[in-house]
Amino acid sequence: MGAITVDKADHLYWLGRYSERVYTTLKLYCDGYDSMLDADEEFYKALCVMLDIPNIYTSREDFLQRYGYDRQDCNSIISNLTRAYDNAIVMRDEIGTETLGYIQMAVYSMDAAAASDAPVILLQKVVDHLLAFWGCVDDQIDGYCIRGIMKFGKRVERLDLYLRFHMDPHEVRRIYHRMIPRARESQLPINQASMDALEGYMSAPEIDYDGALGALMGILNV
Amino acid sequence: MHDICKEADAINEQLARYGVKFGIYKNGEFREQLFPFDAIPRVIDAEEFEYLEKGLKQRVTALNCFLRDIYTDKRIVKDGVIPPEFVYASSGYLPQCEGVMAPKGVASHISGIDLVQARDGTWYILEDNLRVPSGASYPLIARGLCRKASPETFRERKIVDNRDYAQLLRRTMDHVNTGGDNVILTPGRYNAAFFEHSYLAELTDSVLVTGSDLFVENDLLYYTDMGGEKRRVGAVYRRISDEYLDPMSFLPESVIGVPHIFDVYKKGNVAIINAPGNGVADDKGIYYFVPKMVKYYLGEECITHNAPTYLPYYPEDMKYVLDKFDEIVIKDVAEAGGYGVVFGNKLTKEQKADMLALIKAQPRRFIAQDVIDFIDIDIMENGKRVPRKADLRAFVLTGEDVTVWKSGLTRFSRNPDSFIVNSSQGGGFKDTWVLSR
Amino acid sequence: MSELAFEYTMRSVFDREIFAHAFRLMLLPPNTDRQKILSLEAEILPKSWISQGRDAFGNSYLYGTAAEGHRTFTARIRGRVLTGSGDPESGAEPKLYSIQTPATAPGPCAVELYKSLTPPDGGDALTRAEVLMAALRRLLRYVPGVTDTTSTSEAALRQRSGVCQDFAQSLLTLCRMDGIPARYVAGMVTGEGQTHAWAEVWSDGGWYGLDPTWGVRVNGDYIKLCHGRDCRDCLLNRGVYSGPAVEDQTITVSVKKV
Repeated sequence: MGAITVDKADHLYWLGRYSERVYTTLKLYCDGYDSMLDADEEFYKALCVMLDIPNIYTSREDFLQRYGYDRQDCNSIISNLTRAYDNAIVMRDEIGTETLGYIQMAVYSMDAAAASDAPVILLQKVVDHLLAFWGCVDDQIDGYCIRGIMKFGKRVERLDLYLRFHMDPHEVRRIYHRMIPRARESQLPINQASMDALEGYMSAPEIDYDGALGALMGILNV
Repeated sequence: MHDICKEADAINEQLARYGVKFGIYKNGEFREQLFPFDAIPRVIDAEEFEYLEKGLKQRVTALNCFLRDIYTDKRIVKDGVIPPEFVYASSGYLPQCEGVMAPKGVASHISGIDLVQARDGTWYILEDNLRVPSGASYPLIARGLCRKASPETFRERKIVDNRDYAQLLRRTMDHVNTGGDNVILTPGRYNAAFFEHSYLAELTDSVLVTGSDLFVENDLLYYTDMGGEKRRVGAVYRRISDEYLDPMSFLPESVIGVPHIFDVYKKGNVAIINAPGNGVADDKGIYYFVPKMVKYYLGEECITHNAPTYLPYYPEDMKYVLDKFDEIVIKDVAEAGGYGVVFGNKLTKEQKADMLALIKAQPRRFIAQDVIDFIDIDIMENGKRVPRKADLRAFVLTGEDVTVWKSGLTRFSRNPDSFIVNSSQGGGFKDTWVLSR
Repeated sequence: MSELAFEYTMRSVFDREIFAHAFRLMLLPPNTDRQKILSLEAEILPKSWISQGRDAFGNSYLYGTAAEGHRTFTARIRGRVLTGSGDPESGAEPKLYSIQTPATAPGPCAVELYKSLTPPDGGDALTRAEVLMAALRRLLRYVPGVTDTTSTSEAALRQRSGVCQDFAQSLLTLCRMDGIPARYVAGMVTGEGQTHAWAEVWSDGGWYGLDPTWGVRVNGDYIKLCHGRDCRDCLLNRGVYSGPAVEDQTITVSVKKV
């Protein structure tokens, strides 16, 4: 099927973004979990700053529980995974039952981790499912533009997060260059002015993170 | 012989993986629930299925004749076979459909016929579902998983492969398509059967749409694709009910429908699957007349058996209802999904008096049936086999020809005292095997 | 015989722009035994695609969609009609109109009212219906604003008030209880600034118009637009659109003798 509706393009884009957000923040969470065992119990405060989310947490335990698994916390990993699921479930006909199954299993594994005393071991499964999900996207989805939209969402999200994290400029530029071809493939309505501005920020000797983030946010015409 | 029941957990885990769920609203909140699968199959041997197939084809053919007739010439009413009030007062009768001919004359493309088997082996038709019968996707996806989980079973037994349902459905849509894409119209992901809508769209290569994706321009139906191009729609497998289909012709309050779609349909420019107005033929009151339809339209004796049914509308049947009240089941013709079903012997004295008064006041509203002592089917519960009530929904697809899907949805009640097998009331499902010899 | 000129104008103003505005206008008076259409023209703004349809009751309507954004919508239908050529209107099988609908289904008030009446035995349906109409007029007061298009006749009988729609539906309830096929009619009448509704009853092989609001037989002052089983079948204009706007709708009707 070559054609999909406008709403569906939107779901695919956000499916790409949210699943990437879960993947990247999950790795931070696991590293943070380790640091907070004995090195720095209050490391979560720095994590909140880095993640650009309000620190609503009262302690290390509170952060590890709520930021990880609390569906009421709109910034939590499970909330973002739920958003990925919500965008995936309405796309079964396009991405396929096989592909959708990996997002579904990531949700089950996330819930299993929430109930465990050794969650990081189980969170590895969430990571595995997400990687398998992207593998399945590559392997099973024939629609060039469907895959393109999802991957564009994925790259935009990665760049967005790296800019928020003030990552090493070399790393940021690498991600940026991987995003560019996806923008074209997605056939989404790209805002050329934002694209040009972003290119300007990326080719400057020093990266203005906030400026680049602002340009990235306007990259799609809506 | 290999016991597939040993693999029940593995199969259920796979069903969970693929999100085989249905949605329910409880206390104002939407939740998705897994549809419990029981691994003991219902097995129908080749000879028995051959009989069912013949009977179901005949029944659905007659029902399609009835639907064509009732919205045009009404010969069956004029000839006195069905009293007119049973047509006009039926909540499923849509006067808006008067004079409208569905593309290629097919009104019930996908018919879900519910059957039960009595202890003496006789199959009885419980009801015909000709509007938007759901459920085929569940045994369809379960079969593939069962074959993975218990390959030995499928090597040993000669079980007809049921995984052709999507092709049958696709053919049914293509047959009536008036030019353009096939779409499946869903009320949205919060509908109880959304899994089915999306899964069938995937398998039939149809576009899954909601009402707001579709629009009408100059008497043709379209949707807009991602590139902003409009694409014509030739067939709509709609999973929303008639009243909500088009706010311009039916309920003006509907927000899930497509304005003007009914006018496009009337002008022959799109097929709607199943056709609007089909409710007049699967009404519980009309059910009584189906054997008469078979005789009237096809000149044949009806092969399938109706459960012995009485219409309080006829004085002699009213007398039977009054005399045998404790042995019969009363059904409200306006209700569905297992609601509005009352067993005479389960009522208190006052309830019984109230019920009788209601039947006398509105005889057209009720039908009465003898309680059929139907065969229980075993399910596994906590590692033990226990008998439970179960029915079978057979799917009959009408396109160029009439085809009975060689499988079906077997639903069972998990409650040992209940006859109600609907998923909305906590039931589960089984695979249905048709043997090739 | 009289010649009437009519003009129906619907104008909607929205407080912000709306899109995909689908409409259906059941405003095309039919040619019947009682009225002849001499001329008819329709004007709809903004630019829309427009088509014509016919419902199962035999009514014609215009429908279409104004896809582009707009903040005002105007539909104007005008024409000349020759009326008063006398009863009855011939018609098809009336069975459909002898069955109560959810809007006309009798409740306790209708049952009580009907019981208290004694229509003459053996009179023709029209005579009996006129007795029912007279009884109804003794009970109901004309009070605008107490009902809407979803109101039932039972609700009107309970509160003993309503507008022409409720008078008409209540008469349908009583007639159908009495075994007389009766249908709802929407239309226009001289001297009123709005649309009107009345009933037609099946008597001696034809449809006779009775206006329970005024207690009279329908005459040359009336222009019929459409008929159906009840008010819901005769919604004169329907519209749905995209956009969170508030709609302010004005309808003006004028019917004058030429």
